[in-house]
Amino acid sequence: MLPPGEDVTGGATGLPGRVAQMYYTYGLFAASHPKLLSSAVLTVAIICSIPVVNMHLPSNTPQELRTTGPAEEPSQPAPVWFREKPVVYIQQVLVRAAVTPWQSDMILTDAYRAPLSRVFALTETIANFQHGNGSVQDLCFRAEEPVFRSPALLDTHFPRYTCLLLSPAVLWGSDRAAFQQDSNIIETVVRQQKERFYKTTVSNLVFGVPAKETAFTRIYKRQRFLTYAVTVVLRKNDPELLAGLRHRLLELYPLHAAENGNLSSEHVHIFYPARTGVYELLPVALIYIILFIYIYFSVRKMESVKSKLAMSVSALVTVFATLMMSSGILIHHGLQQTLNSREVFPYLIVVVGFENVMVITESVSNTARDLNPRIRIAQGLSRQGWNITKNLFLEITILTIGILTFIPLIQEFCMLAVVGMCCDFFLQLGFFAATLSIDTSLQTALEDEEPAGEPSYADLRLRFPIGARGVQIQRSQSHPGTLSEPLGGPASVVKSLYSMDGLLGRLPRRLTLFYLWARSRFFQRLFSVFLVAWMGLLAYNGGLVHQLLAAVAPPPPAADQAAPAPAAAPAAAAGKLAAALLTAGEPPPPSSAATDDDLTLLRHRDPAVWHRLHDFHWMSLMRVYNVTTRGGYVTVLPPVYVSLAVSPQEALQARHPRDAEVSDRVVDRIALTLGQLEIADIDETGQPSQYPSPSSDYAYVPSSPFEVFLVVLLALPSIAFIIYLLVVLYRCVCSRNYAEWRSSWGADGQCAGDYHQQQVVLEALPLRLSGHSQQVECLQTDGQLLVSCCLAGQVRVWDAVTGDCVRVINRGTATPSPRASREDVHSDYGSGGSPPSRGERHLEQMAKRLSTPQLAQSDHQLTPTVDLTFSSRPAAAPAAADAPYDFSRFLAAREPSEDPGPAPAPRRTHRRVWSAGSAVAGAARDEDRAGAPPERGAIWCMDCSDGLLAVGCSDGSVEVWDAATGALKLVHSEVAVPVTHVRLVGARLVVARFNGTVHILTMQAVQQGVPIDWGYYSCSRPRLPTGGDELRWEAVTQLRWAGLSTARAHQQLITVLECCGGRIVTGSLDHMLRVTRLEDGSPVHTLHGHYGTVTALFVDRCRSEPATAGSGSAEGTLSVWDLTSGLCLYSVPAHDGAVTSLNCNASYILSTGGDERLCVWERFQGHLISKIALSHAYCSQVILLTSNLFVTSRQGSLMVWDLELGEPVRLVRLGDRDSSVFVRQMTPVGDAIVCDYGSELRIVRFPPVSAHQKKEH
Amino acid sequence: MSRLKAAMSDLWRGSVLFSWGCVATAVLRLMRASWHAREEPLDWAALLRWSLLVAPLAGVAAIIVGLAYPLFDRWLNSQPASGRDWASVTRCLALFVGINHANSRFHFATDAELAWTLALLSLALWWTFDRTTCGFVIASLAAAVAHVVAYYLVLRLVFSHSESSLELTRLKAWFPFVAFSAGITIGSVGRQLAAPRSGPKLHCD
Repeated sequence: MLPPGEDVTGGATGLPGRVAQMYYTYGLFAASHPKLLSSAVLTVAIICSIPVVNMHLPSNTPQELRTTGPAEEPSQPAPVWFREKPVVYIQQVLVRAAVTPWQSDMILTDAYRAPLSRVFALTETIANFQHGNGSVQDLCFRAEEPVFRSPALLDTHFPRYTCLLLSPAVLWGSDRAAFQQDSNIIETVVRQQKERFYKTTVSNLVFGVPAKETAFTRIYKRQRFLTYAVTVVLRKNDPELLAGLRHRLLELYPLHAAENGNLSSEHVHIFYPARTGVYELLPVALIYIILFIYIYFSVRKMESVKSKLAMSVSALVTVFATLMMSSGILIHHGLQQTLNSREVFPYLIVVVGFENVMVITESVSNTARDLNPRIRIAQGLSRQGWNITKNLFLEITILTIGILTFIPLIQEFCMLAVVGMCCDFFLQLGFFAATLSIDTSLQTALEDEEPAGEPSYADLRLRFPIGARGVQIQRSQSHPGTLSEPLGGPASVVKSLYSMDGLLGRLPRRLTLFYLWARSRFFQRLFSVFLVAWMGLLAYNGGLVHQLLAAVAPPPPAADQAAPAPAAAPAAAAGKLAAALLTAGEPPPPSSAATDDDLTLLRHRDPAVWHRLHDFHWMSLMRVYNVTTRGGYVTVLPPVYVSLAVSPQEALQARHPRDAEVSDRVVDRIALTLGQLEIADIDETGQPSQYPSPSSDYAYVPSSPFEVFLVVLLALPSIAFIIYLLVVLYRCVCSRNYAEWRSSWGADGQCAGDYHQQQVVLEALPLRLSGHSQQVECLQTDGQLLVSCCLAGQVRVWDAVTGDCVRVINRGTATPSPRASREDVHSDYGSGGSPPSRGERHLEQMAKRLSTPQLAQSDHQLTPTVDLTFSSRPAAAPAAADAPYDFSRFLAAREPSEDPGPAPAPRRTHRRVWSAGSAVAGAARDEDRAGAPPERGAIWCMDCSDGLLAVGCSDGSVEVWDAATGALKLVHSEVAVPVTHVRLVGARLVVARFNGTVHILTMQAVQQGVPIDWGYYSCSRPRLPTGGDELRWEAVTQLRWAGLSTARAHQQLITVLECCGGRIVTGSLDHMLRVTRLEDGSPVHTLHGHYGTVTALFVDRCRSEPATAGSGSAEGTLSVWDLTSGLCLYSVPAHDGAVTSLNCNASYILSTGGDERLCVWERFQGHLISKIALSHAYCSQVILLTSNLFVTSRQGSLMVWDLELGEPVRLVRLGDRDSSVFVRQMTPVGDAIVCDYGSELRIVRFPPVSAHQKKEH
Repeated sequence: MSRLKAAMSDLWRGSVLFSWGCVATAVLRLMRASWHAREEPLDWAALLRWSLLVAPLAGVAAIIVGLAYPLFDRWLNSQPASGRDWASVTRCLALFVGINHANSRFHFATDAELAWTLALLSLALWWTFDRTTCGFVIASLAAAVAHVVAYYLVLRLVFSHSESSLELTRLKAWFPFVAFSAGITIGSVGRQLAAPRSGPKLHCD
């Protein structure tokens, strides 16, 4: 059951409500600065899409094919291009070298110079290698003259008229002497990292591995592991010769030879397409045609905007900017590898779709057109915000699961899609919402120009067919129920249009069966089973299980040497190290644990390290010699892997005399001039290869911290979504809600196509509460209990749910007043039949003001007041104009002072009758105080909270009763000024006195003399009185006054008082409002601005901290205040007469006034939304039932109104007699409304309002 | 008069569906061929021969399925999930092409993986655009029948020389699911054709 004040547009409370609130706030912001926002967002999008410029033209993307041998058939069907011979073969010898063990007295260049110097020997070995009758010199590609001179090195140092053999040695002209004389080798290398050639850099060309691997991107003084390659370009492939070369190199460099020999045996064929084939474009063209048809149909739906063209363009821009942005981001992070993006893009658009854009547009255009465009945008966004967010999270979750499949293609698509969705979300909210708000404001401006075009409500309903995203109300004629049988059940129930049993009653059997099947959710279950099975299959086939099993199982002790078993490695490595060093002819270094680790690190981490070079690397290489590879392919033969351990002695020997200077300052200089070095002290503990077995494509496994961070970022929404899902599921399964959930199934299945929320206002049957002998004057509730007080001074406590009378509290003697008979006569007029005139309260207050001692001095004020009173009476009730009644009222006012008895009832009539006899009543006051027993004054006001009942009396005493038991708990009678308002706020009692003083009394619960924490106690005390608990409470708990603070809030009578969130807001006859702190009574703000008595007040209770308050005054102004700053937000002339009541919800303010109108205001800006004439509705109170239903009272009945349409929805008759009894007071209790009805009470329950909001599809 | 009108409407819908089916089949076949154009050059004659034989069959199937959907909708009082407009139909079509695309471009390790992926995708298509039981049943039936027919054709007639036997085993893995999604797509087209002409506006009432 939903609470009555719930905002339907904002969705339910809890998470959806909060999300909707966020969207609302954001919508306000976006609509305030649309141009700024949209341009900022577009700028961001453009910046993000800059990397797209570097994207290859789609058709030029190199294609790869992998074979295990040179002539073997590939696993996939061979492409056409593979039938030709490759342009060249590439053979790489990858070297991983380091000085080991590293000694602490070494200098910076030691880490580089000696490992690098080995390249010269290696190059010579390779270049001069002969095997059988073939040699590398015969086989290799003979380089001619380099045709490019732009990086100078190409021209001067690159090989010419010899074998095309590239290695870092090229940097020094393949001259060992030049290397040895180079005083700063680091600078030489780093300079070449900056020299770009075509798609790559010179450094990459000569090193043959990505710059990151060379250890030259981060310079710091410690051990470094260099990786470089000797690249030989071959004309022909001679497997024998190359096998011989491989064998020879492994012989020469035996460290890790066993592993290195088995690392990779894959031939990679890279095809560089020459031109785009027509056939290839055909499918893409078709997809794009479909895409454009889709866009056309989508945009055509956009009807309700001002400028269709502009908004369509905006939607298109949103979608295409999304694409650009997401691909830009992905390219920036290097994630776009193999998928041909032009093929994926259209699907991405279709998946991302225009749906959200359309939904936002529709939602905004369905808001009330009279609203401010800002509010419209905010409302539109907040209506759909929850759905949009939910869908986004759902999709991200699904795609994250897709990423977790570790199938490269799916992973790539999912990543693209996730980024695309986030970008789309960003652009929709940033760009599209902003442009939409521009459009909306244009629309509003145009409508303002046409004064004749003010739409009537009928128009509105025609334009927005009933229920279009709004709330549909089904009306039915009211049936006056049989009031004598209040428990006779619901009188008539209007069935929902889609009511299950109503439909099923006439259903054929096939449909019954069909629905049964549909209800059992067969396909949903099937679908989820499929999904789970699919995931399982993929995970199993992807080798995930094997990996996990391998990780769980202990490594076999006799693992074969090729397997990278770290535990077994050091021992084997130590032996090999010895062999390696012996081969090199050097004394063995002191072996240590560190050395073993170093040797492990010397293994090649990534078998296909060259693969991380630019896609066009080999093409660039051949381009140097003007050899085109376009239209042909390059075969990269499996590289030879070499690990080199350089002893510290060798490093010391290789040292250049000026190397010491380098280590100190040159690095800084290089860093300064080149500005790209990363000088950091990051530990490079190379883990063994993160990459799974060298399959055709690598699954994306996050390796760097940044990638892990990204993945975590991606996973967070999924986790949040899953948690939310679990919570929701739990709630559904939880037995309390299960039935409700279950019952919603039927409706859900049938109204799948129905987008509209429905709200059904059903018949309401009033519950009769009788027992008072006279007119009910005060009515209060704390949610469970209902307290009423009649003219006879009798207080009755009712159960708000059942309507049973729980307790009758007789204050003093219960004997009826001797004047009862006369009172009855009087009450026929005064309470039973008299319509309380509009502005009556105002007059009444004026009268009170006159009667206050300090103001009664000016006698001339009396006359107009009395005149006014008399003149207004006949206008309201012509029958009452005759003199005897007036006279009797004078008497009635006077009599209590003459009557020594404690019967308070007649005195109570002051409140009503003062308007007529105020001067006399005022005079009577002094006598009254002197003569009557002080503890039994007439009840002027009541408040009820947590089962406590506070009563303010005319003699200035305040009594606190236990409402459930009827026991008097406390009396405060130290101040003898009559009490006009009391409020119970927790343990505090706010008492407003006749003279404008506010007393804040603090109560304390005492248990056998020891104070109890009141808050705790009031919470833990059972709410509904049951026998045992009641007694216990009775026995142990006493209340006592613990504190009193006085605030002199006003000079004059306080007319309205509200307490909320630790603040007391009071309005007074002195045209001012005061905000007082509840704790100590210290003043916070004084709010000026009214030019008349403050007659109505509301405080926003939507938040715990009161943010806004609104007040209405006797001259008809409505002002809304910001309570935190004390500023007036706006002030509008609301009514012709006094403002008689105010009420508010999250988006509207309702006001009634003396001009018999009810006005609905937009809350944030004060725009008038609708004006409803309330003819003969003599009640100033308006109660909001839901966010768009409110209740007013009229003669003998309550009227339910639709707030948005401004039309009556339902009339609830309170009695079956003639409707001569007026409802004076109403108060909401849960989903019901309690009102007085003469000497009886009525509880009118509106259960249909709170139930059956059709779940939006 | 009204009967004549209804017959005309049926005729019109049938012809539209027929052409839809023919064109879509031919174009998809062409797309498949051109996706594989890297591996082998296009054989236009074979394509034409294939289209002349298969496209009319597919067109007839499209008529049957496309007319059956609205009929069964009316009979079973069911409604598709997504909004009834051409935008959603186009979206469905695009995703159907996407399924075909995935089928021919993604290389899966095993046929089972391919089959499961396609099954999931086609189910997702059904869930997104249709979500009615009768839609599911009709599409499944159509897929089953189409599969049998296609198998026979492949075995006996057209494909015996143009496609390898490997293709025949693969066919088992992908064809039913593609046919199922084709059924869903044609169904949504048929529904949309049968919908009242005035579109969403009238629909609100």
